[in-house]
Amino acid sequence: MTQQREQTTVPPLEVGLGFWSMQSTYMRPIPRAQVYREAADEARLAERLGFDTLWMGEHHMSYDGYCPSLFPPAAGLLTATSRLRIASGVMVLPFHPARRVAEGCAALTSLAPDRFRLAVGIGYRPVEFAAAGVRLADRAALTDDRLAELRGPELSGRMGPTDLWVGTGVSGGVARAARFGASVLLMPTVASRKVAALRQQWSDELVPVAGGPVPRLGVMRECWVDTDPGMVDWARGRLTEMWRHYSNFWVDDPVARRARRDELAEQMGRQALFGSPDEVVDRLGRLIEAGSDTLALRVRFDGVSGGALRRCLRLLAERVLPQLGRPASGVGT
Amino acid sequence: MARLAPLAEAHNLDAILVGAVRDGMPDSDDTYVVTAAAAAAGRTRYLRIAVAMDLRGSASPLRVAEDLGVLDVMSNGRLELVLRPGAEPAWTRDLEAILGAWTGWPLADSGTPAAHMPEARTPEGRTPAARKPVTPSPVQPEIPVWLMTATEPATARPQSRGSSIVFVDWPGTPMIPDADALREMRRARDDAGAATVVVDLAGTPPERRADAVRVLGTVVGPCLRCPDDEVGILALDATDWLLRRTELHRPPLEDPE
Repeated sequence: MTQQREQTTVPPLEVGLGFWSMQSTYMRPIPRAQVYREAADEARLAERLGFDTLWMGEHHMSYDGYCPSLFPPAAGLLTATSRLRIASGVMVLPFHPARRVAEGCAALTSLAPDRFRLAVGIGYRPVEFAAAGVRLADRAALTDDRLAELRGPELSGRMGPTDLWVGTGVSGGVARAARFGASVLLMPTVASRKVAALRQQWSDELVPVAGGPVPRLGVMRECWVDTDPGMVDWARGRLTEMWRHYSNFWVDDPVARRARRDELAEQMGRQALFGSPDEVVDRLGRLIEAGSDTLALRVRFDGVSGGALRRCLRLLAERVLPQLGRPASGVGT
Repeated sequence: MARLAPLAEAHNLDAILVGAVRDGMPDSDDTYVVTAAAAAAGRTRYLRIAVAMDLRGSASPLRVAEDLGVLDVMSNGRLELVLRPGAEPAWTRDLEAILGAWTGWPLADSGTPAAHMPEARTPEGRTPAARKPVTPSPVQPEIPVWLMTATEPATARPQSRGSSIVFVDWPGTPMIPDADALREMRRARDDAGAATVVVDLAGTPPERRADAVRVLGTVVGPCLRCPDDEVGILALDATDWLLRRTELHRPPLEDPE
């Protein structure tokens, strides 16, 4: 156990941005191709500002074109940048045979060695399982089987040393990550006070895997920084609207249960880190103290782009990162 | 791929074909091919992006449809498909399902519309077979599809409209084909009734592919597009231009404007 803990010595802080899910929503209906062009521009900006990672997201059969297929846009983002790490956050593993995942990773490794991070999850939206012909009840077992295949001798050679992550909000998911020697990305539903305990569990159970990067434990949070309170309120309103609509993925009858959806949206909004640079530093500091060595800051929620996003990213890079012990730019090289 | 695609675009080639047109080639799994093609799409604006697939790789038909939708959107409608058909009837059914996915994909029982969705019921009160469109749908109303045929030289015929494609190997030696070799390419194209010539660089060493693209753009492309009686003089002058590195290749000032 001591040996395992030594291997999970907290690595330097990594700061990434999320979640590029390639949507054209009712809040900002833009041509679909523009979504992908903007993503490439924003990836270049994130790289210039010194962020380490750009996280993506996967859903299926969503009216807004929510990206169902992460390998092609990952290739686009990797070729648009030269240093930035691109992460699938998260790829729903029950929908993708292990060999497909290995082939996609092999192609991305050939394009940009060591810059793609494979983060996987088990999924939850019934219609996506129905379309794939996969039983929701089988999702955990399928995920385990596929992780075992990806770590196994037949496919691990094809994939190379993989930066493997498991996205989760529960103890069982943390245990899965530990079992496969993977890093963990805790979902925004995980309250800050629970981070330390989950880190301890993961650290205690982590099975070392030879090769590949040092495993990490990260936390995902919606985040918005501005010195103008009006801009913060505006962004908070957009986030609440996003969660209000998105919560239809989580309830059986979204039309009749509108009040429940409002509740959920408000609940999710409470976890968000919104405010002035100093306020956000304070709350991020608590996550770091709780054991998060990786921050995945969701700044790209529905409809937020352009000048407002650029302003937020610059403030994050210039006023927040340095207070977290990170230089203002050129970090993570 | 990320390096060759912008070079091909800059040399006025029409399309790049990613993947293998013959079975058994390395890195020819559909997922690998679509991912590599996306890198080409990301580095170009006008070049058509063709992918060679067999629909029998690691991806299910639903995942293939999603990959293709994303790639067509990413490329702003530049995607084309060149397929190696399977002999079994299921292959044709899969292709139909993929090309129809954006208007509706069947859901298994767990996705049957819930009782609270009256619009999902027929006037007789029955719940129809549930279907839901795959997203994102392609930018193009119809993705152009070609099917490989077992001919020599290899050709692909259009699935619904357009003209055939003929595939020719890149000789590699000499690096620049002479007028006779160019006439041979034109003859192969015309004999096959094809409008498009795809030059296969798979056998060309990676370090020579950029030069091959320059030759294709400067000499081969023009000589395939010109009238019959101009091939001789065009091949001569274009080859001379490519080889003769004179001061005329660049203006004395980088930006004379």
